[in-house]
Amino acid sequence: MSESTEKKMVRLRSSDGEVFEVEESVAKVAKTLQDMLEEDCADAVIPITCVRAPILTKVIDYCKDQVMISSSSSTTNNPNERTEQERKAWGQKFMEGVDSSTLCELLVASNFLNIEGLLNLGVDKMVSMIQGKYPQEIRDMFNVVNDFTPEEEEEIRNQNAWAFERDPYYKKRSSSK
Amino acid sequence: MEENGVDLNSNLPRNILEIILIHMPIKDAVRTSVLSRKWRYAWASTPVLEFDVASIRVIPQYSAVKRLTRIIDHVLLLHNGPIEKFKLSSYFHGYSFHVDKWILFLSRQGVNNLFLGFEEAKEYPYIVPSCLFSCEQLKELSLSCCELRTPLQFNGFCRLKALDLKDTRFTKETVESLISSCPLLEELSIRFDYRLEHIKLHAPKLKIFYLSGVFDDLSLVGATCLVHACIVLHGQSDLVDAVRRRFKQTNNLDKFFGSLVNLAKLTIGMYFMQHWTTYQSSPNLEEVKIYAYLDRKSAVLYEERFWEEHKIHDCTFNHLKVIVMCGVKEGNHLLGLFKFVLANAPVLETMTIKMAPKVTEAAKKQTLKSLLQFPRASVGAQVSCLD
Repeated sequence: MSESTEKKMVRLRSSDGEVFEVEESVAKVAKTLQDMLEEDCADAVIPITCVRAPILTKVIDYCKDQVMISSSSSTTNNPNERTEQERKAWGQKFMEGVDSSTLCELLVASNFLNIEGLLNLGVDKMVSMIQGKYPQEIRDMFNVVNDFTPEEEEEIRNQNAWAFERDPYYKKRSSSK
Repeated sequence: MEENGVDLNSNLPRNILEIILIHMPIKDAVRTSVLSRKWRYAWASTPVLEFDVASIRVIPQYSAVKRLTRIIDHVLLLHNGPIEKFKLSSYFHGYSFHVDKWILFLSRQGVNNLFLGFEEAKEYPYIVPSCLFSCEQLKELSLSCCELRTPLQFNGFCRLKALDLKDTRFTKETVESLISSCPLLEELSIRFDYRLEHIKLHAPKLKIFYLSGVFDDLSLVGATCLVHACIVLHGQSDLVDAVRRRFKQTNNLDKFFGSLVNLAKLTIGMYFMQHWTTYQSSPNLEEVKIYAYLDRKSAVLYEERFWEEHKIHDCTFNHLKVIVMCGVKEGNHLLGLFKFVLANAPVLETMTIKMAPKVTEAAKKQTLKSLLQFPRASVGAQVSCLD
């Protein structure tokens, strides 16, 4: 379908009512949107009901970057092509400064919109935030309410004692806090 | 913390929690059991379990193995739900009866991906128990430093797509019968350091094949889908030398190279060059990597004009885009090959020469200088010389 050279635009509305206009190719990075657009069941403005504007902004940034990388990848010597290492570094930079609650929202958004790459970045970030931390630190970070009695907690710790023994890495991470 | 902060488990969909737990080391995953009631047993249904002796920071090593053994017993006992992937790394053969028991357990759980890695133990490798052969759901199997004996009663791995045997002991008959019992096999990687005779493999769906060992001849029956092959000799130097000399005199392997119709990517040792260039029939070949590591005793020397005089199929390099040569010494015997490739590869994009260690700067410059003078069929081809 090459009716016009002008880029087709798609409008997305976040849960808090903000409307974003993006190129169709950018929206299509999200598999969920791709399916909607291809089946032609998308309204003039597509409501993204579970994603707030600041999160949607970040998601769109990610999608734009993916389009930028893949746009010329069929030709060789693509200047935008990244090596494995560059991809990793880029991912880390993209996730830099993302706090725990934004991260959870990003995960929900990338899961809902079905963007595998972003979901993986989020999961990696989440794992690095949880790994080696004391349970209380994890609870604080993600607002998890401890609904165990002290006795119950003690029982679980004893049941899985090996997992709560501190290895050198664990100690170092915690003491630096 | 922000007012509308998100509660990790009430707001995250179950599948995301699962992915997070899968990507966490088992120790961290188990530790989440204490966060809250919702978390208590979440880890126990993670379908991926990976254990590595190296993650247990206890000295000496056998204490670490003992400790890991207790942990694995504990985790498997508390586990609830299917186990898709089980990986054990750098385990010690001394506790092998535990491994037998775990494999039996996993075979009943319908495990899909099984990785068993042992510390090298030449005299007493881990003998794979017969219950492994009843894991009919296996899609991927990887064994290192084991000994493989197929039981009499074996119905085949009818779903297996990838098989990796690293430094594992088996007879020619075992490996041949095992592979012909895996009708869907797409990826096969075999590495051994002893000598096998003519290996005949029947793998009609094979796409990727990696073979590293000492063998007299090789046949791959019906592997018309093969796109990526890597064939190198590896083992004790006297065994390798003997086999190399034999290759030079016989036309073993010619049939093998003649059967690779759809091959796009090939990695070979220099010693196979003659067989390959003469009999290869891979019109779609795009990428070649050649290991040139030559010691004087068994060096396969090619005169500069060898490549011109030798009968090489016209189409040999028609689709070649990338060629990499590793371990190049000052070697004038290779210049002829480079010259030939540059002159006969019309769509070549890059030629990379990786010099062997200890090559002098002068020799490197000389090689590069000669390379730059050769006429090229592909105008855009880049030639580079690396350390």
